[in-house]
Amino acid sequence: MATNEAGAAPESPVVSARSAVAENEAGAVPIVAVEALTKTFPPTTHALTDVSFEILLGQSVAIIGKSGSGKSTLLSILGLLETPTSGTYRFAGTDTQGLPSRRLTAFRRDSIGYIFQAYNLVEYLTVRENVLHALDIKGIRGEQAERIAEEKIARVGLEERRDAYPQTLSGGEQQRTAIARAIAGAPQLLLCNEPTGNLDERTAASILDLLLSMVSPTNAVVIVTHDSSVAAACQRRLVMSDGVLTEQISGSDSGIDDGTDEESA
Amino acid sequence: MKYVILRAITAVRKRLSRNIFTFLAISLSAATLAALLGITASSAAQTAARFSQLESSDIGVSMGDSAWSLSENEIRNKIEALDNVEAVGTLNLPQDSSTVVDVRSSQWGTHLSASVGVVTAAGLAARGAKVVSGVTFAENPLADEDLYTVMLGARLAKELGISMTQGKPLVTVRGVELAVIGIVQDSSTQSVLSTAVLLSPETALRLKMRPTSQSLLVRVKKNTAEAVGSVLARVLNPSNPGDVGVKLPSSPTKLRDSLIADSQSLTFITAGIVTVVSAFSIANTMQVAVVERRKEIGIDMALGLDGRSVAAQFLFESTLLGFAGSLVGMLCGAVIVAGTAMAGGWPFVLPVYTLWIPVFGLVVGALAGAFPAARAAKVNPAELLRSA
Repeated sequence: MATNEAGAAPESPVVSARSAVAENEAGAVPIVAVEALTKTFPPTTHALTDVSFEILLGQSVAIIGKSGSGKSTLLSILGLLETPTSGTYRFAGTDTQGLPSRRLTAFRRDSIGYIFQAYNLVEYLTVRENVLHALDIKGIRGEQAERIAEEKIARVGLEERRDAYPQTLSGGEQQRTAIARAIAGAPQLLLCNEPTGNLDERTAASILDLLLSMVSPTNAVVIVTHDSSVAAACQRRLVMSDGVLTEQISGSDSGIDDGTDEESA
Repeated sequence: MKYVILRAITAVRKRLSRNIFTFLAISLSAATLAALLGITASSAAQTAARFSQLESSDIGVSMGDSAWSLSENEIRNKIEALDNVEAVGTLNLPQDSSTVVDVRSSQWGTHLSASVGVVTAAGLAARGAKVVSGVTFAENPLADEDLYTVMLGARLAKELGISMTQGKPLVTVRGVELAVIGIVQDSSTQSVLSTAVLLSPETALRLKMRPTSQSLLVRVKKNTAEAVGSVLARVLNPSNPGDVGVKLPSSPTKLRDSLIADSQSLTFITAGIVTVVSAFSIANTMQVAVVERRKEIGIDMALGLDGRSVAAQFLFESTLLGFAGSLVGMLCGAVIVAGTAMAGGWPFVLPVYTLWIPVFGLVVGALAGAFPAARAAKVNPAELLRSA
């Protein structure tokens, strides 16, 4: 299991959302800082209500909760794919509210990586081409792109499968490809939506190991999950319920009621 | 831009099986368009050539009754002195005289109604009629026998059972017995003389069947009828040219141009329909592509691709499909035109503007892809996170 290279101070197992923000005020600028965030889908769906927390570089954070608790909406906002209805979201110290879509796209391109439950690889591109594709979007091409692609593919252990197409890969291999693609641009924030949800237990464990090994002082990993064992492996856990951040739990602990249901396995 | 183009080419190439039918549809449309344009142009050239063959260079001249008293040779010398005149002779066609007589074979008793033409040997020669047996009036072997002579059209002679191998065949017209001296086949493009009784002016006078006005046929070189016709009256009657009637051959140019224009209009209407069908085909393919590739678009946008680049990529894909399909189609169409022209013995004509078909295809592709491209740019990548 990867360790937190950021060296964050030990925290009490359960702290309030408000106090977590206050605690980090003394430290470095958080990569993610949300305060009083709400998201409403017309006409009356309140997906998020008054959510506040911070994530520092070097942290691995799990967002847990039942289906419909607002986890994915929160991840979309953190990934700058959606904008909050109210509240503030500072990404790397920049208030994202009111930023033109061009700037938001640039943040996504340069600083954020995504990993999806269904892998979402481009089916007609090989493992190597999928990684190169992501680099291409980021404006990295030619020999530099080839070198980075080879390095990231090796990082996820797919050197032998570099020229295979997604449909010929196992679920674990596809997710490794997705991870290689996500980290190709060295993002500061790696957002993972149920990354082990489609995998068997053993493969899920290896993928989780791989993901957590990506945590470094220059980035943070956020994992949305139903799986309590995945959540327990992260340094922090944000528990969501009906769009409200009910708890923030720090440190490895598997005995906490995280509000997830049995379907999450 | 380079990235967008490369991505579009990759997408078209990698999704070849999905794009192939649209590609074929566009190629087929472009081939149809090229073939229509080419075949229309080729057949127009052929039509023009045929019309040119039909174009007459015969000028009709009519002079008053007093002209009969003039020597035909004298008249001919005047006219033949003009440039571009090939032949001249007296030719009062049956349809001009409107005289119909009963012709009876003295030998067989067969009889038929036939119209009467008053001609000279020079007139027959100018007309291009051939004496298939016997002789013409100029070579009349019976001239000294003070007999009335006549020539018969070939078809009339055949129906009366008369041939020149029967010694001295005789026919009776208006109660007067006439010696048949020759049988005439009309010119290759006409037939009226082949069914007529042909009298020399002298015989016609004796039978009181000579027309009041004398008609001449003036054959000129192609495309000179108007020039010759404009001076004929003055040459024949300098003091009173208004007494000379000159009838120029009718020109089929207008009819030809009208037919070709109609044909081209039909081609352009068909081309328009084909183009619209192709455009819908491209638009449909791109719409399906956008729906099928929502996930891919969402991933690209999540990875940092902006909406404009996504739209540009789809726009370029549709443009590429339109261009490549129409380029291949144009080449196929050219081959079809060449084959059709070769089979029909036509000249191979491919209008220069056919080369614009690929450019046209490019524009149609871009227009057809515009709406799907705009839709692609509006894909919300957040849906990916919700669904997966």
